[in-house]
Amino acid sequence: MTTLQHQATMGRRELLKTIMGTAAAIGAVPTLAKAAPPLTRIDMHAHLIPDFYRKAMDAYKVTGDGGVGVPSWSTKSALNFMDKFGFQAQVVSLSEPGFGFLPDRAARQSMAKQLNEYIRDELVCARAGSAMHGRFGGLGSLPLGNADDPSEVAAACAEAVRAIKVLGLDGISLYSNYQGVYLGDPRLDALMQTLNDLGAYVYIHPVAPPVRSTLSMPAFVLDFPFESTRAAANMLYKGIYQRFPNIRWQLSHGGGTIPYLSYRSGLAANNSNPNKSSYAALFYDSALACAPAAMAALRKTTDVSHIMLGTDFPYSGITYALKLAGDPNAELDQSVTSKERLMIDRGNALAQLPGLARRVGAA
Amino acid sequence: MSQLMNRRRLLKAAAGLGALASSGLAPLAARASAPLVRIDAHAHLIPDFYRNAVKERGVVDASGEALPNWSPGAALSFMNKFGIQSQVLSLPEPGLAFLPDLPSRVSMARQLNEYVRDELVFASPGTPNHRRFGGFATLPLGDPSNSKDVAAARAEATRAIHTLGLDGVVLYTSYQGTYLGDPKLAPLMQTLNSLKAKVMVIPVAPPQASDLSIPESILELPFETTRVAANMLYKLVYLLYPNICWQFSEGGGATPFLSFRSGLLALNLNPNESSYARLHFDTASASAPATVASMRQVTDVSHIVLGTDFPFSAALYANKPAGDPNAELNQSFTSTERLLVDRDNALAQFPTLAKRLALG
Repeated sequence: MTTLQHQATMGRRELLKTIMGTAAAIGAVPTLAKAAPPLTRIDMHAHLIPDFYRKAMDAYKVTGDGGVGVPSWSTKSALNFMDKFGFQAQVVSLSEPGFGFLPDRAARQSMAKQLNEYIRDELVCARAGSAMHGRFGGLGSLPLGNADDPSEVAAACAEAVRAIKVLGLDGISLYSNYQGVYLGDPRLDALMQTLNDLGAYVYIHPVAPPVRSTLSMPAFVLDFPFESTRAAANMLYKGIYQRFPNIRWQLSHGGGTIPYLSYRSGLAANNSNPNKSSYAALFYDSALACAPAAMAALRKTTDVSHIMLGTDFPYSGITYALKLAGDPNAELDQSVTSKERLMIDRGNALAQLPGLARRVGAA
Repeated sequence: MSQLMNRRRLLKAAAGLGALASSGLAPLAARASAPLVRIDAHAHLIPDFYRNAVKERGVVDASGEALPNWSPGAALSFMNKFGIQSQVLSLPEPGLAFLPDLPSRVSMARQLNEYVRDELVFASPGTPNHRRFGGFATLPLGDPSNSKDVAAARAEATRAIHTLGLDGVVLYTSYQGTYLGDPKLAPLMQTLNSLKAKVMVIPVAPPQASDLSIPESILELPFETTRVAANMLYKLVYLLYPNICWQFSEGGGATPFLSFRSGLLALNLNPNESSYARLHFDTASASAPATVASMRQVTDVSHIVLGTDFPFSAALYANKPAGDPNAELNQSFTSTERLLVDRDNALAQFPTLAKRLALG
């Protein structure tokens, strides 16, 4: 698992270096000083990497020997990014690898608690007057590693309840699979029941697949969107969306490939109508999925009210570093009207996260 | 093997649904047959001698089911029902990978390609098959690490195009774990480039897959197609061998949707200018509006061709009335564009077929 995650991280780094090289080659120097745009946007796909989590990764050599295995992150760098691109708030979650590398349930529980309390204290409920006040939403992480162990699932259920009810976080973050057990697996039914009882907003982030292709390619390029697709399709086949209708699901990266394969993957779930997507009820963020070819399929799959802006900060930091201040994804305007753009950039997120809406003074 | 079982399960499920949907609404079996204008660029042949070879090797599931039924007569009935003038046939997965050694693969490839020529592509005037079929050649490639395998594949590709007069060549996404784009296959790419070959890429099950309880045909096969399209981009295959004309089956897997994301590594940072624009895509299992909308953002309508995946899709199409096999395409194309997708684009891609139809 560690090796796989390491490869995934390496791949992402290589990509960003490549992009950096390109930009340098074409002589495009980022404009640093420019009037800051008004802060209206909500970023629904952004990550936090607090130091204590990074240290834990280092301790278990999850980053390998490459040095900067994960990008740098601080509240300050997040605020700078937000200010540059007109974000009022980022809804942050932990990216891969999650807690799978921690050795046992106790270590995962301890880390999940620490992380979720950090999100509450430093970000979501930052005191008035601090720079972070009103600038962050947060999704709780769960201490789930081995889904075969019912006590782990129970611990995940308990932390989900605590994160929402006690800590007041905005939702829960899940991974596409846990040690090879995909979302939708009956071993996770108890967790689904808890999330359903909570009426939770649940975000799914891909992790490296349990079995890697023999084709050598950075995992994030194709394997990550494939993972999102596997999880979403598996939940369809297992009836999760119907059995637990109060969970609101957000898929990363435009759903992986779900919009493109919505008809094909719906066939075995008895959906032979090419116009009726089984996935219309899900929510999708636009991280790495803003291009017209992706948005075209997404818009045919779900209503615009289910599409939300996401940046994948700080993993995407370098691609955005090359952009001018202002609109982080101007290419979206080729796929949506200006009115729809306001929904994608802000309204849709606030409609789904009423706690955040209150904190940013929009409700 | 497993992909065969899985595809059957999928189609059974879909067929069951059709039965439900049509309860009290029997398919219109007898209806004026549609004028034969369409070209089906993604359809398969499964001749008996191939089926028997598959069966002998035990490539069947526990209940003893084998590949779906196929005969030239069944194909013609399907074509007549849906207004298809010609199908361009290819060998489906598992291809020849199940055969144990190079001599048996060479022998089977030759037998298949000669069968395609004699019985289908060059059927005598006056026979029902005359002018109703095009054909992709099958290559005896099994182990790309073995230079003899690659040499045999090159020889058969040349023979199929030059001597037999077939319309193109089929490649599978991977051969014993070696994906298209791998340098081991460079000599074959060189040959195909010299032949200016039309090459169809058909996905086969990945060398290893996660034990997700979803049939591999549903997600893993389009993922394989996507991997190969990206790998060939990274390995510069499209640039190094510009005379190969690629047809990616089933809408290219998910290539159009991920074109920006997967293009990043190839330094393609402009979401409006995809490196995949030069590929051709067929509409088999990829005719839904969401899919076509994405495809149309990546490539020109001239690069999209009708495909049905017959006979694997026979159950799905059996529930449809005679006439348009994929009426949903009209939501994505104007009637003029639809004529291109249904016919003209394929004829431009298969000039030898156009010639046989006395159109070239």
